[in-house]
Amino acid sequence: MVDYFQERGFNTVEDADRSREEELERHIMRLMADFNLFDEMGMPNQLAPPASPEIVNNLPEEKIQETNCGKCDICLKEYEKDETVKIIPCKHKFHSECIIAWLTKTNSCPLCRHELPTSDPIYEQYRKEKKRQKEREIDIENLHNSMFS
Amino acid sequence: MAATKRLQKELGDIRNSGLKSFRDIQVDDTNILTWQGLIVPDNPPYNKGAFKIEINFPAEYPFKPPKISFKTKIYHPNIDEKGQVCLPIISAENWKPATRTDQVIQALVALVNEPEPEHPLRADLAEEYLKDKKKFLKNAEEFTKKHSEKRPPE
Repeated sequence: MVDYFQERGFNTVEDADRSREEELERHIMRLMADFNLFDEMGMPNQLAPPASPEIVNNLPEEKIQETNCGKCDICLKEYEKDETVKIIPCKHKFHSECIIAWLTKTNSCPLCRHELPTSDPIYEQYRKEKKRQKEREIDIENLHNSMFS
Repeated sequence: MAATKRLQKELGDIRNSGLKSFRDIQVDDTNILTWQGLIVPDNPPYNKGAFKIEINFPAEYPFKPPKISFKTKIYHPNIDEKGQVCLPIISAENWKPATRTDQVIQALVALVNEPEPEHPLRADLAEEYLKDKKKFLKNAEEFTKKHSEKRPPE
């Protein structure tokens, strides 16, 4: 049954609180970025935190069917039949034990630096803000180009 | 140990590839984590000599980067008096395990051949390099002749 408030598009108190919280968070992060607080915390010069264990455990696996189908870029050894490899979201594969050893240190692909989610809330915020900043730059660039070309 | 196996492979590959700019690679049989070798630059003022370096791999290699130090004195804006060198690809935040030692050595040789005075370890030499290149080249050549190792035969 649709109630009176839902029909008129009102939010529940919890929903409104949540969106207010999100907005506040956005403002704080924007403020931190604008005042270079992430830089001052040393975020850009630090090794990023480990990939989230949940993501690592759920990476798709593949069994090597035949030898001579490439090598693992971590241990540099050719894959051999019946070895298990893990595939990370950027489609790069590595021996399971090799990639797990790396992802428990930091969250990026050993080849292309594609980042996996971490379980570090501050780092995740920092990453989100970095992405937003980039989008902002592109928006400004587009706006500029649309006015002056 | 993972480090040993990978280093044996890398060492074999590097020795077989016959790099011209990195020669006389010496590794103690009991400790593959320390390599020594000669950097043989092509560009003046360093092409008058060769420079001994040491590469130290941590036990956690390739999950942690190797460290490089110069054992021969060199007059270079990016290498300090203690032989320390700042090479971005082996800094902790840039390191990735897929980077191989031959790529690290190539980056090092490129840095020796083409100094980067914008990111100096020796500000005095960087300033001289930018403001009075002639003087820098003369000093560096004299320094190379005096302190560097003999270049191995071609």
